[in-house]
Amino acid sequence: MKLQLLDKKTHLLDHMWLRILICFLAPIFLFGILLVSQGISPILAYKTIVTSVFGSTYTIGEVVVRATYLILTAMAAILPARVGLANAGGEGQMTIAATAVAVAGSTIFAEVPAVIAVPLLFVVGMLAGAAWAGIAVICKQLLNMNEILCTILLNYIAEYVICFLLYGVLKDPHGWNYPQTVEVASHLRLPRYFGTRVTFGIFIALAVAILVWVVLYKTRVGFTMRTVGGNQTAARFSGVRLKRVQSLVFAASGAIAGIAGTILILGVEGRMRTDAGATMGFMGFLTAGMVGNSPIWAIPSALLIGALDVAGNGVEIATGLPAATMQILIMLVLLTIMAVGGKKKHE
Amino acid sequence: MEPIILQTKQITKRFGNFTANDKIDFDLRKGEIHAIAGENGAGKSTLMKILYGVYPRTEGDILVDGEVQTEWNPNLARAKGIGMVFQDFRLIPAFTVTENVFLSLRESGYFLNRKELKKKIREMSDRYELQVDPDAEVWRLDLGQRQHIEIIKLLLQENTRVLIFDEPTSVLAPHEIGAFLEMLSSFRDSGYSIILITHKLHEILAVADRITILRHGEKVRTFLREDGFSRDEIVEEMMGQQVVPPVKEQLSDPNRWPDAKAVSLRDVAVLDNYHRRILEHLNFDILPGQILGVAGISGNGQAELAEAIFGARKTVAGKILLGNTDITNTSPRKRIAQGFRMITEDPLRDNVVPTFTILENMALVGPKLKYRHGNVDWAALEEELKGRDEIHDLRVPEFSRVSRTLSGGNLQRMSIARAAVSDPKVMIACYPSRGLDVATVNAVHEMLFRLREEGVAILVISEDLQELMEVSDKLLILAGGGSMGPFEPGSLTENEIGRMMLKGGADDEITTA
Repeated sequence: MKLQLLDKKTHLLDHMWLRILICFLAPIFLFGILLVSQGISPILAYKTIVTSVFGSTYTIGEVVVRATYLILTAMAAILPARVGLANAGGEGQMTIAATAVAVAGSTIFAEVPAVIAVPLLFVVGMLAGAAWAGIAVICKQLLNMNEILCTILLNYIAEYVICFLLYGVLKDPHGWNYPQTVEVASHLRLPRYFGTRVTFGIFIALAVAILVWVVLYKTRVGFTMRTVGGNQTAARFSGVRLKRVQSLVFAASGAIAGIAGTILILGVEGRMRTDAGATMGFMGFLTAGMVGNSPIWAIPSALLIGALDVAGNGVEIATGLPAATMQILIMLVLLTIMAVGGKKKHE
Repeated sequence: MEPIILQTKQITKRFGNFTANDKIDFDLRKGEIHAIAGENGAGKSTLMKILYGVYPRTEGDILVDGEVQTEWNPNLARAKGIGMVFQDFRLIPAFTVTENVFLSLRESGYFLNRKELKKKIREMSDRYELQVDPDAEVWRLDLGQRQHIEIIKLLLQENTRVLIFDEPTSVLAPHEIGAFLEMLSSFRDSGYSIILITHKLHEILAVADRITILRHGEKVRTFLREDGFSRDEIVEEMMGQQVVPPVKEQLSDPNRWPDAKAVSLRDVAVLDNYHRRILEHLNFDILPGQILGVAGISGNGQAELAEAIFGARKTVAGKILLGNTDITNTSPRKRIAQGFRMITEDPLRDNVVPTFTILENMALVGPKLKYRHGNVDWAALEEELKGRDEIHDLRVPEFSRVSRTLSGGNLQRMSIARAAVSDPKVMIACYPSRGLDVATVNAVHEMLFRLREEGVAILVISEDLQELMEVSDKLLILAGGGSMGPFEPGSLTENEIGRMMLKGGADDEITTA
């Protein structure tokens, strides 16, 4: 018997947990240097991070709230990645859907019983998200434009369109002139748990993540998708309608981002504001990239990024550093992810 | 005796549980051509990639000038004067020859001294009778010329002393091979050491000084020219105990399959990737129960023709008919449903998903798939495939192997077997025997004959005239932007065909059969 152990030697970075740990520790070290240079104790800062994340059920709940959106927007990035496309437009798809849901929930569905209205509001959100993604699909397939740039630019367009609406026709007439919509009828809101802001949305997010995994690996549709993602030429030569598959998957990913937008409104927010759900779509793209577009691993990844986001507020208060400083930590995490997380398995 | 430049001791390479190279001892002396021969999957390419530092070795030593190299990668190999001419040329099509050569010369500084570099390219080109025009844009050149550029790149590196060629003749037209082998000899005479990997025996016999045979990843024997090469012995060592199945030729009878339909091209024209009309006025039929061979020097529209018949390339004029139905410019999806199957020129590029297992790849237009709970019924597929002779005859690798870890020959056999078990009606086979060993080539031919018996309309594109003469019922020649024929293969000599391929026009006295 030859020594089989030698064959099993795998690259350290092949271990997903280790990758996530590096993505967590390296930025903390680098950020610590920055803190020291500003005369701030990194120990204090990191203690604050820990307490602001694990301090109470409420703070843990805040992490889960963010992870809810991040899991969904990560799925919106993962599906297209599996057919050779990149969707960086989760942000726009989510907020456009949120706006549509906020409007529908406060007008036509305001008097409808929840059993009927809530599922329909999810449909509204999904359609709005899919429609926004559909613009990028048209740019890509008919005009041959780059889908990454299209979706990024559409994020900006979404932001400004929403501002335009919130300062204009959609502004709540009884809202003390704040740029926000009328509140969604209270009976349509999702139930909350544990005295936190965690809503039923987290279960939907987890279910979607599992569903994405099942579809990808356990269905014929997923097999076709993986064929396209693995070799587009081979897919074409085996009779796959490439453009059709890619377009449908892209629209479906918009619909998933739309679910995030729906949960945003029916869950925590209740109404659309100009900065509701901000950065959650964009971070979802990175949540997915961090774990090499694996739907299951995206869940812990979303919790980590959600935790960093929550910790940001605490650090701001404890250290007196300006708000933008916390962005540096998050960006350090993202850069480490790009250096470590995206690495393909070695031969 | 000349000194040993490059040597391996007990080199072993494993991919997972699969051992590609098992304790191989190999050495290369100054000024010799050392050929490495073996069947597909014998481990030739793997060994070369280890020698050139592309793959890290699992065990064993690499020695250069007698010194053990602990660190080894392509950069170090180049620094030690070892160069490799890859099968897939690393050239930028939009650049000129000079620009491409410039890219590869790392000592040339940051500024392109065109005049001097051109002069050097011309000198080198004249010295070894290469046909390289420094000002030509690469996309205009055929594969043979591109290969010459790759060689020039290495020769212009002053320290180069070892040239590794991996299946160099697979991209050459038959008439170019002789010249290529002469060129190899002239490199040897100038003091270069050459490693030549090929599965074509007559090439090795013509030029090699030593021949090392690999089989199933192991070195079986090294033959020396001074001992006299025995063709039979070499074949025996390559094949092991295998029995080479004889080719059985059977006669076709077009009237036996009343339901089978012919594919007809009527005045069809196609464009190549540069929007040039590479072929026009194509008029011929692929009849059921018949093999139509397509001969021609590579680059005369073979790939474009195959893609047009399969629906993967739009035609710009004329009509394609299946029976009486006009199928001009319908999608590959529709044509697959009508029974069209295509084995492409490069299965690795066009037919295989590298991240899939063999079984998963077999599901891409293989046997009719069954579904269970919304998923492909993998167990049923595996069961069905195991019962098919083609899988065994073509030695398809284990179903659980991931395709990316397999050699090109393995994947080619897989995609040929896949097409064979998929109940085809029209089979377009591009270079079906390229890169395969004798036994497998025979199995492929057997398979084509069996499909012909079942009334499949078959088109075979090949660069091997011998092969075409053997398998074809009718022969078509592509040259000069159009097609000639179909001819009865027996009515022409190889020389006549060769003349037509080169000239691009049929002589007046040759009439179509």
